[in-house]
Order: sequence, then C-alpha cells, then structure tokens
Amino acid sequence: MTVILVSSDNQDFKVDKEVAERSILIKNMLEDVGESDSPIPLPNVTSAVLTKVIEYCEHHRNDPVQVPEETDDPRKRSNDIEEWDMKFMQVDQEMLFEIILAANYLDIKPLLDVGCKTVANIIKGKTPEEIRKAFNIVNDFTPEEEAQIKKENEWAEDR
Amino acid sequence: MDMTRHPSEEALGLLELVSLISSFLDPPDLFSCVQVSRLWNKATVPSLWHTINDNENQWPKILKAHDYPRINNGKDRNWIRATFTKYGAWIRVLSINWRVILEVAHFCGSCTHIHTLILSNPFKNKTLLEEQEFRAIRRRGPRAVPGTGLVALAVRIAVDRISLFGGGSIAPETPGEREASLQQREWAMTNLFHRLIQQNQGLSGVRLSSTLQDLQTVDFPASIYDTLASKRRFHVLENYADCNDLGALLEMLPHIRYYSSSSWTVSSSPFQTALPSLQALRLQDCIDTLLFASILQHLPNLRSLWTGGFRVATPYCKENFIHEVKNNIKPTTLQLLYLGRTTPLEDEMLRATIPCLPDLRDLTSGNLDEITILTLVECCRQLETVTLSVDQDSAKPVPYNALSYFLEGCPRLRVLDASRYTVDATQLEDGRVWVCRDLEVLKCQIIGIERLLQTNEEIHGTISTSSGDMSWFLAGQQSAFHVQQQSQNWHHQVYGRLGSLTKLTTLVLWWDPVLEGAGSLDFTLETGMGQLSTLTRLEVFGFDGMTSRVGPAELTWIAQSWPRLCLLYGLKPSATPMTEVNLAKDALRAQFLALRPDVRLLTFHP
Repeated sequence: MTVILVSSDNQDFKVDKEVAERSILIKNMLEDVGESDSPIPLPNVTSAVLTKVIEYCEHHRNDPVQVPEETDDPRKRSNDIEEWDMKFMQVDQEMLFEIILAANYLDIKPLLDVGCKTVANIIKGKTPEEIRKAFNIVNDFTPEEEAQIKKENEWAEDR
Repeated sequence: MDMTRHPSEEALGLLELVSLISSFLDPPDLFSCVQVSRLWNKATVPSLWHTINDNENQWPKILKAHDYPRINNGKDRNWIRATFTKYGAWIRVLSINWRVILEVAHFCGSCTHIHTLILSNPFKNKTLLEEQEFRAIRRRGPRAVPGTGLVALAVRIAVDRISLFGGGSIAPETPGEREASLQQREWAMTNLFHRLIQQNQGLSGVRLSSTLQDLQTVDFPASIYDTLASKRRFHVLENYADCNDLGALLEMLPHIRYYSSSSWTVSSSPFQTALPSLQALRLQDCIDTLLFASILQHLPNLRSLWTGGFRVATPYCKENFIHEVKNNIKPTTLQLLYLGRTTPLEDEMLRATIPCLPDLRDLTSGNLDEITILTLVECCRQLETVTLSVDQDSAKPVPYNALSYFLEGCPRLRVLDASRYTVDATQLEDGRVWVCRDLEVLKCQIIGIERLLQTNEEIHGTISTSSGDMSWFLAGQQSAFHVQQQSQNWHHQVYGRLGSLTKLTTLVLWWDPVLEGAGSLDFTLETGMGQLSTLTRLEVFGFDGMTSRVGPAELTWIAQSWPRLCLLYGLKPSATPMTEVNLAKDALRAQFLALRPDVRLLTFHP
C-alpha cells in the first residue's frame, strides 16, 4: 500500500505506507483518517528536503521502533553514528538544519537524533565566539552577565 | 531586505532543539554553550548540571582550595553554596567525594530533583587547610596525655613513625578525644546523607562506594533503609556497606529492581516471600545453597544474577539443593548468569540448575567441564553470549574440543569468548555444520593440524637433491604427500566454516604452543586463508602463536581484504620475556603498517 505526500512546492511523492509511517505525525494522521487515498499535504517541507527524508526512511524502513529507555545515565554519545547515516548527513549546513526541522515537524525521532548528533559534533571543541560565528547567533548578554555565567560554570572547563 | 529566515536560525531558535543537541555534549563543550546567548544558556544549563561528579572536571581543584578563597578566585564555601542554590535544581546525578559538597547539597535547599546519589568516603579528600592542620599535628607529635610517662610518649612516637611508613594503616592507639571527634564527624555525615535522601522525593538510585569500607565505624542505620523503602521510585541500590541480612533488607525495599553488594560478608537468611520487582542481583561473595535455592524460588522476575560462586556447609546441603531443584523449582526467567569461580562444586550445582534456565542468554563463568557444557547446549536454546575463562590456580583441565558443542548446537550465538578453549580441526570432517550464523565474536584456539615441516617447494627440493635408493625416495615422497593432503583438507574444513560466519567482527585465533600433540592453522594463502574474504565486517583479527609462515603476500591480502580492520594481534613482538628478537617479524610489521597505518598492532596474552 502506498500513500502520496505533497511537499510545500506541490510535488507529489508516492511512498510505501510502511516507509511513510516512520514519521509518527503521518502515522497518526493515517490512523485518524482511516483507509483513504487522499494525498497528505506537508506544507512545512520542501521537495528537496522531503526527498532526503524519504531516502532516510527507505533505508531505515525495517529498523525496530525506538523505545524510550529508562536509564539512569541519559547523557548520550554523539560518536555512535552509523556509517550510512554519517554519509547521509554529509550535506551543507542549511540542508542539515532543514532536515532537523523536518524531522522535528514530522516526528521522526531517530533522524532528529542523528541530525542533532551531527550538530553536536560541529560544536565540539569550539569557543562560545566560534559557536556564534558558525551559526550566526547574536550575543545578547551584558559583559557582567557573561562574566558571572563564566565564573559559575568554569568548573566544567577543559584545562 | 531578505525576509526569509535561515533554517539554522530557525532551528537554533527553538529551545527544545538546542536542548536536544546539548544532550550529546560533555561538560567542557557545554561550558561553551551556556555562554553563547540567553536562549542557549536556558537550553543547555540543564545538560551541563545534569550530572555532577565532584571528583571530575575542575571540581577537585576548586574544592581543595575552597578554604583559601584568595588563591581560588573567590570560590569559597559561600560561592559553592550560592552556585548550588542557583543550579542545584538541575542536578539529577550527584556523586559526592568531598565533605563540603555533601553539606552544601543538603543546606542549599535546591538539590531536590536528584534521581541518583553516589557517596564515596568524604573524609578521604582533604582541603588545603585540613592538610595543613594534619601536618601541624604530625610535627607537634601526639600530645602528652596527663598520667602517661615519658616512656609511653616515646613508644607512641615510635609507633606513629612506623605507621607513617606503613601508609598509616597500623593506627597507633589514638587518644580518646580524637576517636570521639571522628565518630562525631561520621555521624554528622550519615545524618546529612540521610537528610539528602529524604529531600529528594524522586530518588531512584543510591550507590554507596567501595571506599566507604574504610569507614569501619559507619553503620548505615536502619532508618536510612526505611526512608528508601518509602520512595516509590526507588529502584537501584548498590551497597558497599556491610549488610547483615540480605533477605531481610530486600524484603524491606519492595520497589527495588537492582541490588548489588560488594561486601565480602554476605550472610543471609533465605528469602521467605516473593519479591516480584527484583530483576537483577549482584553479589560479590559466594552464596550458600539455601540462599541460591530461595533466589530461584522467590524471585519470579529475576533476569540477571551475578555471584562469586557457591558455598556448601555440608555434603548434605548440596544433595538437598539438587533434590529441591529437581522437584520444587519451576523454570525461571533468568537470562544472565555470572559465576565468579567454577570448582567441581559449581559444575555440579549448575548442571542441576540448567534445566530451570530455559531463557538463559548470557553466561560468564570459569572453566566448565564437558558434561556441564553438553547440558547447557542442550537445555539453553536461547544462548547468545558465552564467556569462559580459565582460573589460573585451578587444577581443573580445560575440556578438549569443547567449543564445537557451542558452534554446532547454539543457533542464536553471537559471542563466544573462550580463548583458552579449543576446536579440533580433525573432528570437523563428519558433516556437522556450525549453526551459529549470527556469530559476531569468536575467540578460540584451532588445534589438531599437524604442523608441516616442509612447504611444497622444500619437499620437491629434498626429492631432487636426494640420490641413490629409489624406494626410500618414493616412500618419502608418498608419506609427505599424504600428510600434506590431509593437512590441506583440515585447513579447508576450518577456513570453510570460519568463512561462513559472515557477521564476524572479531576473530581472535591464537595457539598456545604448550598444548601437547597438536598444531594449529598455517595461516597462509597456500593453505586457503583466501576463503576468509567473506568476513568483510572484521574489525579485530588475531593470529598470535601461529605466525611462522605468514609472509608479505598474506599481509597484503589482509590489508586489502578487510577494510574495517582496526586491531591486529600477532605482529607485535611478544610481550613474553625470553623470546628472541625476530628480524623477519620486524620487517613484516613495517611492511604491514605501510599498507595500513590505521591498524593498531597488539599482542594477545590471555
């Protein structure tokens, strides 16, 4: 069984239901609507991004569904990205964030995690100023606030 | 003006996304993140303060000097307390090794959302001030107590000196006043810890570290366990403090799922009532047969059990246990079993128990005898991971060719880590296949192949140079040919079976030359190692002890056939003393590293 997804720029994508249901948003929509052939509009996702997202879902169509783990140490690792996913994420920075936003909107947790791990790997080893520069972020702290935050947290500094 | 927003700005403007990204980072990088902007600060502070271990990062440096704020950039007790007041509510895991952190965590009032508390001996770490006081006492020598004479003083100083050299473990008779102050401090510590437990309603785990054993006098009062019992989410207790009665303690904590004890003095009455919530039990010490029987009987949902071994008071106990298991114990849910030692007693107990363990997936133990292994393979059809070591002190022999039972009988096997155990190549012929197609890790010894003294060319060489008696010549040729044929056949059998295990990521073969009457694989292209080209997932490979014929061609083949290889055992000079320098091996090593600089070379000495 296939479903039709419509991107924001009005392109149709014919996808196996099993693949589309990697997205919890779509899965819930299909469950609510029941048997229906009507296309599903995704106004937040462009065709370029949707192509990538479908590629990911196709590759991971048989993965077991992620169960949120109940562990005592939820500090997760960012160096455990699979080889295929790593290659899949080798895109320019704007596309990387487009994929993250789409995964967030479509509720595809494993894709969202892989995207965020990739961003975490970009952040590693950077100073605050380098992070701001890399992502175009404005420093809205006063110098006093900045100094205080630094003093309160410098126990974490790598020296 | 460009009105479109960049996706990076949109994504990094969402609190929940920045927060998710931060969950994959460690403190030094999170320290950068909290300084980026207001939004980033709000999103990443919870990750930075999630886990606080006061023995890591810059904490020891700060805490050691907190008595001297001037050399510590103003980070004194007040600063620590103010910081904890501000950020303490984010702490979920707190590991306490310093007294001041224990005090601040309680008194700051905001550490109330902790789910895991870890306590080590907070007297071990000394601040600069405490160290100075300690040195001053040493310099002054013990104060003369009124009523003791000069001789007694001299003896005490001498004892003090001795204890100084001995690391202070032989404590001199301390004056009563010091003893009292120490007791007071320990009592205050226990009290603070108890209050900290009380103020964290959502507490799910407590770990009392092994260093607490140094505090012989600290006895956790039953009231602490009472408090823990009142918490509905309390699931994990790692207890290094002595526990007088395990059964009684666990019955007190009805929600507990994991209990671990490193104390060597476990004494316990058997469990009387069922504890359905307990899923994992880790006991360092050996347990007696009655307790073991009650574990199998009264813990209906136990998945994992670690124990040092079994203890038998009288032969009758063992017979009694075996009778009990056969007649009164139903199949259990146990999936993981770890046995610290395996004397013939453990073999016998295990053999009796195995039929009750249909779900067993993971077994770690010492040397098991052949009948136990056979019973295991027959009854535990779910076995996935088997780790067998050999106790160096034990006189028990390693059963011959025992790994074949696992390889031929356990279809779900993923890990077979038994480098002291053997597979006999000459026994592979009769058609039994290796059924464990999902095997990822195999560590073993291949034995039985007689080491060929000569290679093909050498045989021909001998033949052509020998002159005279033709019949001797022919007989020699025939027997050499026969041995070679046989050896080739055995090699083919072994490589064929290994090559069929295409999911292998670790294959460590080694050969212990001490083994009598058996050679191992000749690891060469000529004998057919090319059949292993199917093992494309291989990351770790080992051939220690079998390296005599591995040459440049073999190493080139390895370098090209296994792109994921990152560890190689067998090329590094042996770590054993007395082995001669092998120049040929040095050259091979250099050749291989030139081809694959990404591979680490190690030597394997189990």
